[in-house]
Amino acid sequence: MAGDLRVWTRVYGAMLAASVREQMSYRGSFVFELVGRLTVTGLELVALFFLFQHIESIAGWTKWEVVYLYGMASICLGMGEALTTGFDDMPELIRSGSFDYVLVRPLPALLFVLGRDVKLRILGRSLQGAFAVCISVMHLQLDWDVSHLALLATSVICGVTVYAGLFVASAAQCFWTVESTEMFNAFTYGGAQMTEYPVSLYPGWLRSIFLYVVPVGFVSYVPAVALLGKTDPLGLSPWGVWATPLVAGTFLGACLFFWRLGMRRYEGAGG
Amino acid sequence: MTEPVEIVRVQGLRKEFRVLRHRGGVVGAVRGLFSRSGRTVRAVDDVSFAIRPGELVGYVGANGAGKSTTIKILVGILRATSGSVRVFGRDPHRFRRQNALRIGVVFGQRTQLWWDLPPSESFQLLGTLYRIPARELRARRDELVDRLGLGAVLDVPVRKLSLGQRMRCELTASLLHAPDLVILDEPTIGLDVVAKEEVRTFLRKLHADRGTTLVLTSHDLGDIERLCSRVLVIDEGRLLHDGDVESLRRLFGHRRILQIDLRDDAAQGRALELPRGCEVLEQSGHRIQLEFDPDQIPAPELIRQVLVQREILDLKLQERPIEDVVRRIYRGDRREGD
Amino acid sequence: MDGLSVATNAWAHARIALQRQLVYRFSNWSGLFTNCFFLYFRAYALRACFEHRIAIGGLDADQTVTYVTVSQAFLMVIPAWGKVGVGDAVRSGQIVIDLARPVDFVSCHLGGRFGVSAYYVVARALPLLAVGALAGFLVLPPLGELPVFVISVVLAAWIAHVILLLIELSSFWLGSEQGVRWLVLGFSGLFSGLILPIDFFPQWARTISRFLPFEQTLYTPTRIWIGAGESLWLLLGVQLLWAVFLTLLAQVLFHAGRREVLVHGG
Repeated sequence: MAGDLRVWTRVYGAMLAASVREQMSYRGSFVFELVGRLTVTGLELVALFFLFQHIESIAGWTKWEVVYLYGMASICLGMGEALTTGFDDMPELIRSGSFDYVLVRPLPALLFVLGRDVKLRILGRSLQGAFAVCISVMHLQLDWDVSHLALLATSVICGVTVYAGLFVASAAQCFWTVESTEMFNAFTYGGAQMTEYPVSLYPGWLRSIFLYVVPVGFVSYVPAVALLGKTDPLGLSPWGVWATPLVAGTFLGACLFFWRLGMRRYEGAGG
Repeated sequence: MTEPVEIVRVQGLRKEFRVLRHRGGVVGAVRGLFSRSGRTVRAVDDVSFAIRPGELVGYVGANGAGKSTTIKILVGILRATSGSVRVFGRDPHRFRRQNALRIGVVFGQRTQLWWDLPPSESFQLLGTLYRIPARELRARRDELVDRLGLGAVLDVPVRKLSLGQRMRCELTASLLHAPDLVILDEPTIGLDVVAKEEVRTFLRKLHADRGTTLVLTSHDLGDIERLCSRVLVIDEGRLLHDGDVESLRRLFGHRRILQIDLRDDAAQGRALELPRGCEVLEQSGHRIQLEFDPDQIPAPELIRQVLVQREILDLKLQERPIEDVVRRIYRGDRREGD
Repeated sequence: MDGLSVATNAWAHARIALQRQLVYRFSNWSGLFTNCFFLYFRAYALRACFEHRIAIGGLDADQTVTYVTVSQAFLMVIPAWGKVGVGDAVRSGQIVIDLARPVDFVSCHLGGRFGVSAYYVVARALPLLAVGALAGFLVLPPLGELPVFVISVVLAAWIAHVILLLIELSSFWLGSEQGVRWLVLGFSGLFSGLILPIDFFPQWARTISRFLPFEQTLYTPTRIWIGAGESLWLLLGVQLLWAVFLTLLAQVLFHAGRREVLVHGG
């Protein structure tokens, strides 16, 4: 397994380099797309500012606190997306039968697909998110020490883990149907949209789905409450912070299990 | 672990699929959500064979006969339903990744190359994947590129290559790690005559020089006749024939088919006088199909004889289709059994 | 190409779209599912803004959630995102064959897209309106204004489809329309009023919006549904002007692009 990881790291690095070279060859289009993607996410932030010209707070969270939530959602979604670009063409891989080539490689299928295709440009969303988090932290003038920074880093890692898991699960769905995987958008892009605001403002059933089933809300809300020193009407706060890595890890495990189930189905039934 | 005498050993192999029955209409679709009814299809049924090092084996059958399923089981992609399969003495499914280091696979009409990258970069990535030392990789790559005449396309993105060029790149990609066993699933499918011949020549030479064990599926008898020393014929999941190409040839004669388009209706006027070893296979309108044995009557001689009798618009010389051969083996088997 | 053949073409495409969607049943349900979630997220978030206020930008809470429901419902009917195929055709060289066809390209294209939109009225818009109504996110407009709303949706779909076509026409000159697509998507997300009702914008941003075609897509029909303060006929007139202007622009660009291809080769 350690040997696999070393090989995988080298393949991933080589793919990244190849992808950068390729994108440089279409430089004009690349720059346009990067600017375009930054505009998409940038204007979302602008909309947030427009909204806060009319109101002081939403569910007890002020403008800069919401900007922080928005930034974290963007970072985590963006990095989760960027890490899993290899899964983008899973429907095509399965449909064309090229997935068989994945299975004749001396590397676990999941790792191979993960490193098969690396696209740099999707990082644009995370850069935008990082910018939002930075300005919000500056405006909030928080009295942070090292432990807060560690919690921030943990929060990012957990968020990325959950989103990456969702993208893997969404790709694994292709083992059953190669039809569009739009359903998972409700949790990935939808999840980011939802956690742009504190989850406490949603009705109980919707909140529960995103806290306990697909914990996009959990890994966003609970660390934010602790970091920004908010009072938590949901009562998740003190214990939840410690549970966050556990929640993210368990969810990733479930997603990987879903992938394994799909693989077993593929190996049993074949194309 | 001592190396077994056989590279591949298959005994009583059986593979079943469940095929879901699709119900029509809205009611059917809703019922389909709750209960799944289906039937079991046997793609491979009680197949046994062994392959020794250095053999060049053709695996023949019509589409859907079970060729690809067998291949996928050999490389470990699919699990067998029952029976025993050993490749390099190991269960190929459980030891899929270990075996992968020693097996090279080409699936026709699919690609293992990175679509937007030039082949040279794909080769580099595969080298990393298979842990091939840089110097070795370069030497092997250069040799393959040289043999397959790929020098000019090395830096062209794969999506811009012709099918023939791409297939030669696929071959290179599958051989970079110097596999002991090479499995080719329909390597000439979709290729034109020239490209087919290039692939065949290369494979023949690879086998002659290196003694690599090759397993080749095809539904093109030309591939098998020109390349293989041994042939397995499979139909509806059952192995019908396992022997050298000569014994197969005895079964189907190596008869060929001449298709002629006549200026006048074929049925009009005097009946066509045909030489020995030739008979009418089919006749409709202006088109007539003759089946002949080239040992008794060579094609040029046959054409000359027809030309004397009729005015000809067009000619086409064909191999007998694989389905035909399979049919004939059935008949032959039955006759032997009677 | 006359109106009748545009209509025939639209009908043919609607049937193809319907058949395709019926094959991909799972895809269709999953799309509806995802749309519902987005509807809930936006509606609850915006409703929470009215905790301490009665009106924002002239809209009350009921109008705002109705705005969210209607704009989400018609998102696929008046699409901001979608592949038309011109860009792919330019890259593959297929465009040379398309150019040789004796039909008017732009109106032919529009006919087909109207068919797809018609399909989504049934498959997406009506179910989502029902979901919104059940969740209490929908106030119905005065019955007399419904015909105006329908006309406005048709005009909006027209404009949206021409914008998608314009994006891809840029590939005649840029080789790939991907960059322009993202840029337009960024602006249309904000200025079509999808993210936030344009009524919530500060005055300067509303002025900018006036000069962009995007608010003529999702915003105008939605605003008519929740009760526009202005003359309805004026709103329709502005939409019609934009539709005609953008269609003419598409014709001009298409013919310029055609010259480009014929002179320089595909």
